[in-house]
Amino acid sequence: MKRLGFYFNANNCIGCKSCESACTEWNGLEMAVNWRQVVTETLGKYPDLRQSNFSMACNNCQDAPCVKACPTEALRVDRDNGLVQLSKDKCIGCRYCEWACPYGAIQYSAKLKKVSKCTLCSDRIADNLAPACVTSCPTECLQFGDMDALGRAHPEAKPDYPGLEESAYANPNLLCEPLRPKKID
Amino acid sequence: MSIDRRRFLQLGGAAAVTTPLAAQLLASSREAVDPAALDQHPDKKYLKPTACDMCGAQCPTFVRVVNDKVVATFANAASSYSGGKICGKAHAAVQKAYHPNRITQPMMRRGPGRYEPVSWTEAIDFIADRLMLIAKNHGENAVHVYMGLGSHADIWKSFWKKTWGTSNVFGNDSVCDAGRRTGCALTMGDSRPLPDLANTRVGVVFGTDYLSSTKYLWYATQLLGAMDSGAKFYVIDPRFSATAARAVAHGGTWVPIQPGTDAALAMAMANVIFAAPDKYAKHMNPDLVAWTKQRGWHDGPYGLGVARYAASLKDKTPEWAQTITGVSAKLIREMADTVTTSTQGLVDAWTGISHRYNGFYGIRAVMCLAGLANTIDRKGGLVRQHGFSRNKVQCTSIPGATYRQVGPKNQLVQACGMYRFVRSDVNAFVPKAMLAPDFAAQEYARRRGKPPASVVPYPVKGFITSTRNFANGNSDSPLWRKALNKLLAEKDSLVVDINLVISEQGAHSHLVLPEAAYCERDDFITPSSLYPTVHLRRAVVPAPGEAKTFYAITKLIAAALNKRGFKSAAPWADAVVPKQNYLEAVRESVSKDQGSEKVDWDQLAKNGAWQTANPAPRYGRKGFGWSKLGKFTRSFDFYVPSLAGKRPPNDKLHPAGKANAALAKFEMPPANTFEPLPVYRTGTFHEPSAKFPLRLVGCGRHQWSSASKTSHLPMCVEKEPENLLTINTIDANKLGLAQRAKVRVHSKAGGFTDIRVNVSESIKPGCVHMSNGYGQRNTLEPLARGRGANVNELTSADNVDPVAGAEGLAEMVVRVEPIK
Repeated sequence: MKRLGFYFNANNCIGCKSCESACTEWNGLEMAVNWRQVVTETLGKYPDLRQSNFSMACNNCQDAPCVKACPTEALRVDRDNGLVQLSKDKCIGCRYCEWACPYGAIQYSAKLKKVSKCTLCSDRIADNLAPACVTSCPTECLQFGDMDALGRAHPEAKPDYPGLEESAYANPNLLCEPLRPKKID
Repeated sequence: MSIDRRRFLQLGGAAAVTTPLAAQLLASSREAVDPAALDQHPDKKYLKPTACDMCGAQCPTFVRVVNDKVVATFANAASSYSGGKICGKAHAAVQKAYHPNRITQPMMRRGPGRYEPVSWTEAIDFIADRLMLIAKNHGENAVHVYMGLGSHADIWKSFWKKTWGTSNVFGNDSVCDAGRRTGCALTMGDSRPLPDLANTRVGVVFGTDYLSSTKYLWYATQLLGAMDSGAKFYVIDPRFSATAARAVAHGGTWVPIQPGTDAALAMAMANVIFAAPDKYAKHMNPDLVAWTKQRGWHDGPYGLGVARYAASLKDKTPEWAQTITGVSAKLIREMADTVTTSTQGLVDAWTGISHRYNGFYGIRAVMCLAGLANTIDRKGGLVRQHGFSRNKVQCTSIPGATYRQVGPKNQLVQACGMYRFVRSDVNAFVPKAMLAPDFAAQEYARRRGKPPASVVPYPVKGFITSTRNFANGNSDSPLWRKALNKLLAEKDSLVVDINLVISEQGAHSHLVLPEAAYCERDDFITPSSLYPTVHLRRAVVPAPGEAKTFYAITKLIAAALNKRGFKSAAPWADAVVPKQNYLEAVRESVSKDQGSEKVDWDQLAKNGAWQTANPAPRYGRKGFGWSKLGKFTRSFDFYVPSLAGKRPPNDKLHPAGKANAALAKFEMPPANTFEPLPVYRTGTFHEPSAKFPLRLVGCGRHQWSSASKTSHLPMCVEKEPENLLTINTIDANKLGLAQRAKVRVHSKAGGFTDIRVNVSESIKPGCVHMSNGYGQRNTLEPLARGRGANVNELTSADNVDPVAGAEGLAEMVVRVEPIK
């Protein structure tokens, strides 16, 4: 089974949130719900600064903590494609999954009293189209595909990134380009 | 508002997730809709070409239309201009069309915050009656018309300029790039040269954040591409901007400068070059700048005032500049050396330095440096745009329409006695001329004494706007509110806004007319570009209710004026120009300018975008001299009448560009009150004092805020809910400010506003920054109202660049006080 996931290059992310808005538009999300989120962080002391933008969504982790935390099995791993699927009907809005997810990918809707998350634009990938966020990225710092192919295309990319939970915890389907010219402390 | 795509999917049959061909997906990660392969696209039934209108780039897009409703937006792969990309704001654009507060009938003001729908007949009669009254009492020039990116801009402008007969028809230059336009035009003969970022190897950029302002999306793709391939950028900005951050991440340098001192920095860099002729002369363009042991620095065949400039910079050393700018002498030398010795260098500057009292000279100093460093019209440098005329469809496209001569042109700026060298407005004069009928006369007398017979002062009584928010986006908002409210109370004035909602501008208007949204109208777009390109906006869904395009509104106004005896409007009223004819007329107009290469109509109609066969910058073009810059020459002659027909002897343009260091124009009367060489000087609101110790950087907008376009859109508000006052940790500690503490900011101009702080390392100590577009007061825009603070409560309408007329939006000193 091929694993699908994202590649992200923080060096080239300009923090424009085009990915966020493409996701919102395509999936018809309510405004307070962001299946994909861009976080901007500035580190260092004036004038020696580094700024990092990071675009994050559900990484369909192989050892998904959200699935383990869900008391109603509303979240489960699809055996056919390895993706973490959410059944709205089964969700009771307990938000355990939201707390368990190390990437902040689970979004709670106060209006619906349920959680929701990125579906990898399942309707789009069924049509052999990339997820809306990837399509929209103006600097192509966000890419999507089979993890093995992404790994071959970006040999230096790793699932670990400063500030993120160690990848061994959840085995995310995510590859991050290392920061340059030097790592953020 | 909810775009119910999910429901559509349920009804239409969302496919189950299947394992896709991963390799194909990887390749298609960059996909945009390719019109050439539309037949194979799974969504082909629903995809229609149109164009975004969220910023000046107006990128071509494809939208997904289901049941006459736009539900999603995609980039258009056929456009090399947008690189087959769209930015986030394009996704928000659709919320304009389906906004719950959208107006679909003309709305008449019945009191503060109270509007009632009226018929088009009632609305147009009101407009026509008031127009006739204004013309009778004060002349046609007393009507000012402003246009943003509304529909049919050229027809609309033509009507008001050439048929109605006012000289006051403008865009947004004086709060946009008037300073850069004037500085560039007088230095290198092109008012808007663009950076060839894709090919830059070393960039020195002053006062511009290419990545946040999203002026043009291709900036982002080209800049990141260049950085990825090793280009080094020095980003000169008091703020650690998005561009500075990416530069640093790619081995470049952030240069935090004291705001408003860029001229001193550029002059010191030129000093470094002039001081080492043996080292740098070989990198010069010999046609422009030459050096010999006998003569020292002197002009090449097309160089102008080089020796004088070199002499004037003798004492403008890096050490001199260091004390002014806060940039180390070592770094100044490094930047001068690196960019001059690079064969693909870039020196550029935009509005951060031009929105100041000394903005024109700041731009002049940078552009002279650009010429000296041999970066103009060269690969990777600042490249003059193609000769593709942006002077699109004119009044002659309307059958039977003729130009109406209404005597000598007498724009308000001219009536106010300003010498200006590029045609644009000084917005800051307008509220003053609304409030005081004799303002123009007094201003002329103050500046230049007794006006000649051709200059007749007048008040501003008519104000017709679109896609602008003067009460928020221009200097001194309280003054604008006062002026607009005065007009609203008068019986012989007229304030009209044309918009999708009742914006803050509309809330200060007698009437708000409902406009067709971007996806409901046809437009022909020729954006600023390094090569000829055309985008076609198409009406892909019907306009709701009684919303109309500008063309339709023009016809209604023309008919009403004609009825009232304004006969020159008759051809407009009767004109029946089918959509296709209108587009054809524009196409012909563009083709005429394009020489042998015609705009391919079929390609344009099918693809939504057309570009020249060789979509690449044209370096060192020949034959791009004064003859092709006729418009500019005429413009100059117009503003300085004594020079009409007398071309200064050195006004030639070298094919490879030039740096016109000493402006002959400024040494001839009557403009000889200006300095011919770049100078560093400061205005009233530049120097901090004990009472106002901090410099406010009032420029630099949020990526998601374009004020009047975005402030009411849920997606934009969600991304940037409010602006904050960014203050350095050192200054915040002095004031005892915690993160997000509320403060009151007082400005030297006398204004104040309350805002929360963003305590951050990302701004130079001694400076604070707040972006524009927030702090709106309009009760009819609940989503925009009360978010953040309006920076223009703090700016001054008196702080106007005396040469270019740009407003000092970026220049103010302030005091910050904690609110307990």
